Amino acid sequence: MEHDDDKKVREKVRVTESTPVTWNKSGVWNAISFPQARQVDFRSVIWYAAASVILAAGLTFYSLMQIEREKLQLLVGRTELAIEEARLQVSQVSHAVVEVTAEQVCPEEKTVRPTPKRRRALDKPSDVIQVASTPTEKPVVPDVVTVNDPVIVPVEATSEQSVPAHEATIKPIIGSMAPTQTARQHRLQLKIFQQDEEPATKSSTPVVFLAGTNKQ
Amino acid sequence: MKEPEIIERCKKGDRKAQRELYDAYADRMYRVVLRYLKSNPDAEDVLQVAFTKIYAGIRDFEYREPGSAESWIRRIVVNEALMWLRKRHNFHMTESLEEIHEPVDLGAFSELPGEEITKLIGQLPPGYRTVFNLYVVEGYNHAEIGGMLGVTESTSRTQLYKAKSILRKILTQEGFQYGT
Repeated sequence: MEHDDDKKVREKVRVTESTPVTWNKSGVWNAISFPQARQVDFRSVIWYAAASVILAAGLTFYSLMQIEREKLQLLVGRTELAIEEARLQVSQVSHAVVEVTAEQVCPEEKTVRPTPKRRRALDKPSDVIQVASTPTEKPVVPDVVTVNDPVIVPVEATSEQSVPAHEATIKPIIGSMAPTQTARQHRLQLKIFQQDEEPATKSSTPVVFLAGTNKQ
Repeated sequence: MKEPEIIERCKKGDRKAQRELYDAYADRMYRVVLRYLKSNPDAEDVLQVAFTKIYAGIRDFEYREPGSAESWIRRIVVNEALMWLRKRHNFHMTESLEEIHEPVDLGAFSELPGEEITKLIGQLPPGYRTVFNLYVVEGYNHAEIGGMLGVTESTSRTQLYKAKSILRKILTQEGFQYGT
């Protein structure tokens, strides 16, 4: 009984297998005929796409890290350069302090020091100089040169007797005046050629302001 | 072109004969594979590998009678489907029941149309479905099934019993009458 049922099932299933079905028959044949040109499976496409995205993200992250590293290296290089220049300047200042101390000890010897070159603004030498000058704990003589004015103007004493005096006839010019002269020139000319005269006497009658009443 | 001639030309590597052999059996073998694997892309992959092996091993095949080529091709396709299943399904995990002897009546099931039978077989779990296909549809005995799946004969019996029990349960739920 059981075997009969199994036989029936087998026959029915075999008959069903003979009915045509829709599937990718030509694609499978192409894959069989040309294994090199096998069509890429959809799951493989998804896998490769995900792998590509991960790879691209990794490369982007790596390049960003490289850029940041280069920036940091550049900054470190600049800082080291500034520190080196500051050290150089500190050594120069220390040398100058030693020279100044030597001048204090032997003031008769005057040494000529070359003025240090001006540093760039990045170095900030003023702070460095202050820090470097403190450890000496000695009074620093300011490098001030007092220059006296070598030009001397001789002043000769003059007296009235030394000037020769002579009399000359003065011819007054009255009424002749160039028409082109300005009023100022005219007054100047009058003042120059004006003879010493007695000041005009004041009138004996004083001016009296009398109070009056307003008439309406 | 008749089948023996196709086979002989396929042995010589004739591309046209290979295509004719493919056209003659591809649809049928595709449905065979679909009874073991439920996914269409997986069935296409299995079929591609199976036909590649068929063309490679056809020189050793000897045509004797009508139907022998189909049996040989079917065996290769079924073996390839089992290899695919073995990679993804552990048949050793299934338990064996030694005390089961009562046969399961599948009278109503065998009366169903072929498409319905195939659909119900597809609803079985992979282990049960494989054993049911091999025993009932392909006609292998339990010893052969045990050798093909790498399990004991009793395990094969148990799998078949459970498969039939599930099919009967499904038919009962759908209103089919068993017994007299």
